[in-house]
Amino acid sequence: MMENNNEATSSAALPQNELQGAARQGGTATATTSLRRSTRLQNKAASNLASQQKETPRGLATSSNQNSVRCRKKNKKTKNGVSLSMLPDDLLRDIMSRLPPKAFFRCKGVSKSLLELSTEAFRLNKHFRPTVSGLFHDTLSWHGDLRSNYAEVSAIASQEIDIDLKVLPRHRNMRIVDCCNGLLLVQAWNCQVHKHLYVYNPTTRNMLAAWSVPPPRDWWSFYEVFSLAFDPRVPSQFYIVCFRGWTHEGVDLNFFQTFSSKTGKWRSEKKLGSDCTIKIWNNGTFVGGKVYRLAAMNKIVSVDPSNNSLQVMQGPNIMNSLRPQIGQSRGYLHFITVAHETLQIWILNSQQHWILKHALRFNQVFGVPGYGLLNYEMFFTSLNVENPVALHPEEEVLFVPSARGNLMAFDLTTRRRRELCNLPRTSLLVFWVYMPCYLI
Amino acid sequence: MITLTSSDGVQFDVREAVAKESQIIRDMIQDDCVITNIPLANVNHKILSIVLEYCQMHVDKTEMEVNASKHQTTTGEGSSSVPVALKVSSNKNLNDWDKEFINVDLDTLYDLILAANYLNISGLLNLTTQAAADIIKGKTTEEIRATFNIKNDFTPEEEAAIRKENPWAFE
Repeated sequence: MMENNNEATSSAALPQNELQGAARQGGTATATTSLRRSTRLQNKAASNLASQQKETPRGLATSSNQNSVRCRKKNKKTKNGVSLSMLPDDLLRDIMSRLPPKAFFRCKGVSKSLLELSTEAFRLNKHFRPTVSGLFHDTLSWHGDLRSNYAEVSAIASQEIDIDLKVLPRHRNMRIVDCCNGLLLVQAWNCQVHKHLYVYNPTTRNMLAAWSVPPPRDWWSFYEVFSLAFDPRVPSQFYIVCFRGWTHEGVDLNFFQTFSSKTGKWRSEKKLGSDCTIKIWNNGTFVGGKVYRLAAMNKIVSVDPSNNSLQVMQGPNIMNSLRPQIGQSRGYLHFITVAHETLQIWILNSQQHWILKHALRFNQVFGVPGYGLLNYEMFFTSLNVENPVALHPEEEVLFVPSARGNLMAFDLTTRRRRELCNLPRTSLLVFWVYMPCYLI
Repeated sequence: MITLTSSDGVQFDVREAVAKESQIIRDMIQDDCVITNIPLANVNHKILSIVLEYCQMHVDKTEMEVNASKHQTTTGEGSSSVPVALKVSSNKNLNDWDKEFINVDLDTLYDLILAANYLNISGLLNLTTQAAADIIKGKTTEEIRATFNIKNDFTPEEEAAIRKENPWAFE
């Protein structure tokens, strides 16, 4: 390694012996860095000192400093074969862990040694840490078509994301039906009867799966809701759980089926049980390897897609509650509802007990004047929001719409609201908090 | 004063504070307080002088700040906004200075990274590795290979497979 270093220095603007002759006086006026030539160099020093001093000393803000910087700038390219890849592995890894996504993946394809280092560098790279880039939400166009829309939270993190879903085939209606750790499940159709389903990563622009769903016999009463299950710790596979059924009297989705990307097949259909029906208009969530869905009678259904097993539990017992919904943050299942003039946030602890974590004044979160459940219900209806609250998956933050039609971030620790952006008037139904995933 | 000797035998006299920017020298001085001459077997004089210039600048700046804040506390309260402004501007200056400082050719940068690592100067290591990352940024895979003299040791199939994983990055 040492020989390399010496070789490297000789490529600088001046020949080696002249460099050695030059006195490089520490620099600043107050500097005490002075150079003592060793005896070996003493002979050459005197003659070269005068002529070279102007070129080489790197002082602080002196004209000679400018000179030396300029002379160093001249040869940007390496001349004698010093290669970045000759750096020790830990330093190369450090450099790779500083690269933004695009540069990182290009660098990975440079050579085998860099490819090997990329796994560890990926883990260390702050660009790949889970951060919320923005929120996808659906809007209704003037023609009555559904379109997905994107509200930016972080401009830097949103840079690489295909927010218009351009890679997917065009359809008149495109609606995000689930979003899980960076992947989207998109339903698309031109006519109600024949629908398409895509699993899409808008960050890497990978379309991971596509189906064309054949029309059921009596499609007017047939409903399906989908949950996407993707664990970034196991990026090689994802699951989809489909709850379906015919709604003759009210809502009655009581069959479910799972799809594994590994086998590429749907498993045979299972029945939920007679006392258990899934609510259509509520988002599901994915926590701890299980897909959760709200069911009727204050029940919550969970499906483990890896073995197609099913569990049913009770939600927190609250009287007169409005707009219940579930979600996840930092690996905990959350239950959110409006009750007793407050927005209540419940959390399922590791002992499987529901704990009331926050009870926030409704007005404080949404900025809506007036009281009473009816008033709140009118507020939600006016906004067209079915699930009014979206949880930040990593932080104590809620994303909520405001009465004035803005998207707000509500900090649960400081209880402060921050405006993020304007929402289109025709925004509806749900928000999908999006965190880019570069793994699949 | 401490004398640092480069690998090619050139000696540099520096203040203890300047030398102590390096964690490895700091440890040496702590272990043996009478040490005055430290040979640095892995850094030649050209690189060492650049490294010392960096240390010198950063020590001077910190001392200036300390002095300024001392001065502020002795002159009393009432102008509390001044030290903040001073600190911000001096930080900005130092960042500008760093930026200009690190504008070197690749060979020097390469040696500086190694030296900063060997001497364990975290600030300089941050600065130099970030500079290397900045050079890679915006380059295509081919350009990265050309700039850094890296040989492509993939088969065409292997390379195609890597590109296929993240095609968007290669567009």
